[in-house]
Amino acid sequence: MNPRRRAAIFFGGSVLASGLSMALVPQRKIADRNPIGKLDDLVPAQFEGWAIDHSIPMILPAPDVQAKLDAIYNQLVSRTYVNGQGERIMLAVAYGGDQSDGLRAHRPEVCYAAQGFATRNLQDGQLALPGRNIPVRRLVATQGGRIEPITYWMTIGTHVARTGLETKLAQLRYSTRGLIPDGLLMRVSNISRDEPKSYRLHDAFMNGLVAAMPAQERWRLVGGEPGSAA
Amino acid sequence: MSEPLSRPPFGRFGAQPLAQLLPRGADSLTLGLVLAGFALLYLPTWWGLAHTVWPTDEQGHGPIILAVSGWLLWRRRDALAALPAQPATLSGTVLALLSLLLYVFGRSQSIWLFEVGSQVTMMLALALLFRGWAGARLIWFPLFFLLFMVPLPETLVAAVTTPLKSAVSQIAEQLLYVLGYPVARSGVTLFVGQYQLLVADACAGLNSMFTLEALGLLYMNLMQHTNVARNVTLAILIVPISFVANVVRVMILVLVTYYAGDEAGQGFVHGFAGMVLFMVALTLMFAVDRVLQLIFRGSSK
Repeated sequence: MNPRRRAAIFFGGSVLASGLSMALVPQRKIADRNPIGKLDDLVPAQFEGWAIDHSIPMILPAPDVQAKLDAIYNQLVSRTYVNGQGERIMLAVAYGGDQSDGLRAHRPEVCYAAQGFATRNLQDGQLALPGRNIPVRRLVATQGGRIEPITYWMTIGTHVARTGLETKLAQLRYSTRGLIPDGLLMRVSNISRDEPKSYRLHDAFMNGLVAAMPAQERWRLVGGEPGSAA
Repeated sequence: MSEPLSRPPFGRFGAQPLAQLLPRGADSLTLGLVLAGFALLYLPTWWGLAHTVWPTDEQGHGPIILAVSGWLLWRRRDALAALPAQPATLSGTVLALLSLLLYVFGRSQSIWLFEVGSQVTMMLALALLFRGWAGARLIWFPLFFLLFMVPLPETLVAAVTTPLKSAVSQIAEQLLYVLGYPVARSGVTLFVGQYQLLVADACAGLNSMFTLEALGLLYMNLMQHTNVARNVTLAILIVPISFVANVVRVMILVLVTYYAGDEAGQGFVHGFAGMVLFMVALTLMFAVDRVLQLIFRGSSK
């Protein structure tokens, strides 16, 4: 085959690939089809002996951190709950309607470390909910005398993802069908030196919280089929 | 041509007919089609990179890598055109198809690794299709160099950055402590006197390590060092060199903050410390290269 023919075929292939790559870019946000509403209302303020602790002043992030958060998340709920025994749980729920590459939920083991916390004991775990377990990550962040065991997970659409790779794969399940998934990061933590006890407390807290939500909305926080009871 | 030596180089460059910028003896239609196809694929990629990844600290070196690779390729244009056409059609076709697939998938699903990575394999495929293995051998260095502009997956960067950052902070703290400064550390936060410094991701040095590694390879290529063992040794040693340079940078920032206050440490000195990083690293690299020269010359006798 002469070189000109070869070059023409290559050019044709480039035109085809270029067009194809444009046509395959996901366009539809699943968040538009099934809007989440106000996150502040979705997450129960009171359940099973837990209530929001208004005595703790909200510590607002530094302006530069806040700007970064606003760029990544559409909605952010950050609360401290307290129960009858005086145990406190910090809950952060961050929601992004567009979990494409540029706007990815930031994982605590990275973002805590970036803010000067030392992190250790990063491990995979299971959070037992009625009927099923969801995969979670647990770690301990420390700064000075503050020891904070953390349980967290992310949802991409209806999937629960733990690692960055799992997140990307879950995202690809949507984007290869032309859909842009939304995503949510759930972080439960408390201040305690007792790790196992803290994690049991996180699990009990989450079970109470999920149970207090309308069944058809639970999947938004813990994944699973929309509308099904988790 | 009457007074070529007295003219400034740019004047001569501008006066050159366009044909001399192109490979001598190449068929312009063939060349035009190949360049047009390549541009159609990768101009949008470079445009996208320029608006997302290149302005960040992590990938600031991207455009430079692209330009240098382009220049290195351009320097080889005549040699490439002069090669006899002995196409490796099968390997070239398979690689070109794979590259196109990678490109379509990477670009539509926004996976930079695939999209940017595919330009390297695509150029290799083109070399195979039009010149064969000899052509691929001729341009292997610019293609390899181009790999440095491929943005790494965030997951990998995060996995490497965090421990690296701890190590840099830890060693900087230890050294300053031995020197008698009142330093303490918690995670990646350093305390000196009444000040508190957070070691940022950029200070982990993964990016500077990449930039330095690229510079080192370019240096070896331009110096035309041919001893493979020596080049590989230097390339490997650049990793600890850039680590040391990053520790020096963090120590400088701590000392500046200690003596001149927070403002100075965060202000222009911060950027200046970045310059120091590269000066330290390049000095170390040249020094190591001199030592390697002695060692390898000694061994070859």
